[in-house]
Amino acid sequence: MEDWKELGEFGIDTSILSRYQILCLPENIQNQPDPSELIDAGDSITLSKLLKEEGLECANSYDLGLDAKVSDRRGLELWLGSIWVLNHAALPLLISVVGRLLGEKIQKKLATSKQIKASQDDENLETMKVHANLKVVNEKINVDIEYHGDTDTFIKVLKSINDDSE
Amino acid sequence: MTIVNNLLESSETNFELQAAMLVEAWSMSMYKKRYEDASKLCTDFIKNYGSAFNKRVFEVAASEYNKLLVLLVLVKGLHEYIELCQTTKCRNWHENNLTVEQVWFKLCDCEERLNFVANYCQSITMEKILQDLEGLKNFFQEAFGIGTYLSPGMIADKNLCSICHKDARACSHVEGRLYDGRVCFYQPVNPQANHVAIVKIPKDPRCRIWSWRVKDNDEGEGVKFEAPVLSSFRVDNFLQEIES
Repeated sequence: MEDWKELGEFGIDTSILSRYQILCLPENIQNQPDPSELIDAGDSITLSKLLKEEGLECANSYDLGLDAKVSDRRGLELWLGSIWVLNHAALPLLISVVGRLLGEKIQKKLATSKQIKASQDDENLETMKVHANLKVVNEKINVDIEYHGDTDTFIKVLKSINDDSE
Repeated sequence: MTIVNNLLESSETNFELQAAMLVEAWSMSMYKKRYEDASKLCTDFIKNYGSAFNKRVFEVAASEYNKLLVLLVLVKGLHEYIELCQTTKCRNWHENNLTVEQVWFKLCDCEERLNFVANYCQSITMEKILQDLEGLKNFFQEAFGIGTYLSPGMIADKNLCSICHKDARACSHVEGRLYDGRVCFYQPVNPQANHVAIVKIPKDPRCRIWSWRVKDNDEGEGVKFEAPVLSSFRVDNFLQEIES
């Protein structure tokens, strides 16, 4: 597959990719940077662990042998990096895990805004943001989305992709 | 102080009972405004149980250390609450800028610890304390506004897991969860700040820019200010300071 060739250029052994249902990849991998400039989004580490806990065959950059750096933005937004869904059957669990992660972040954001007594009408509070590059690569559907937006829409996007691929 | 002496029997491993007894004795002292007694209760408990916790002297299941950790964080939070009460009982405390900054830091620490504890147990005493902290935050908003904060972005070579010390991408430990009495966190290796944003809702409210720290820039246009970019706070960091 063309997409897998891209990964091969980073030194990934593409013959092992068929083992996995989801890849949690560096956030800038689609910009094709020098391999030494690859960067994993901080929340992508937790995402890959939670997906594995749910029993999904998931690989992160470490599993694939990439030597990516790690970003920590210390903000209250969710940075999920590049998520490649190789098997659409993994989508319902991905939706569930992302929903949980978002829930935890929103709780933290509410606690912090409460802590600093920020106005509940503040635009920043109403729109908790998600940043992700989502790619669904399989025989049924081909999706490539760079998403920077609110949480509700992100979940809706994931659900609609799941519906389309069924 | 019989209760205190009982609490300090470090062989006692019924940690829930210990928590109930300590909170009852602490509440009684606070009700009578005997802050020093309440403070001693906390410091003695942290010193003795903290030391025993660090040395892992109790012969209990490893998961029991999770309970003791939560209890120790609770007692540290109670102690910080006493310090807040003592500092703010002086009517004019908010007129001293340094005191304001210290109270804000203590308030952030205390609330973060008690919110951590609230994930595992709840009590009327804790609810009352959290309400009091809410009142103090209301005061801050009225007196100093909602504030502006620094929020840095960092790039690290990798993060090491505090539980297994491996690359955080190579293990299954999840940040923020408890494992045998230890909180999982990630330690960045060779971190480099790549930007600092000025935000209204920060991840860490300790990084607040206070109006008295903002000054005209005598080297040109604009202003200059001093504010913390990062804090090293963790709910369990006080345990490292306990002498074994």
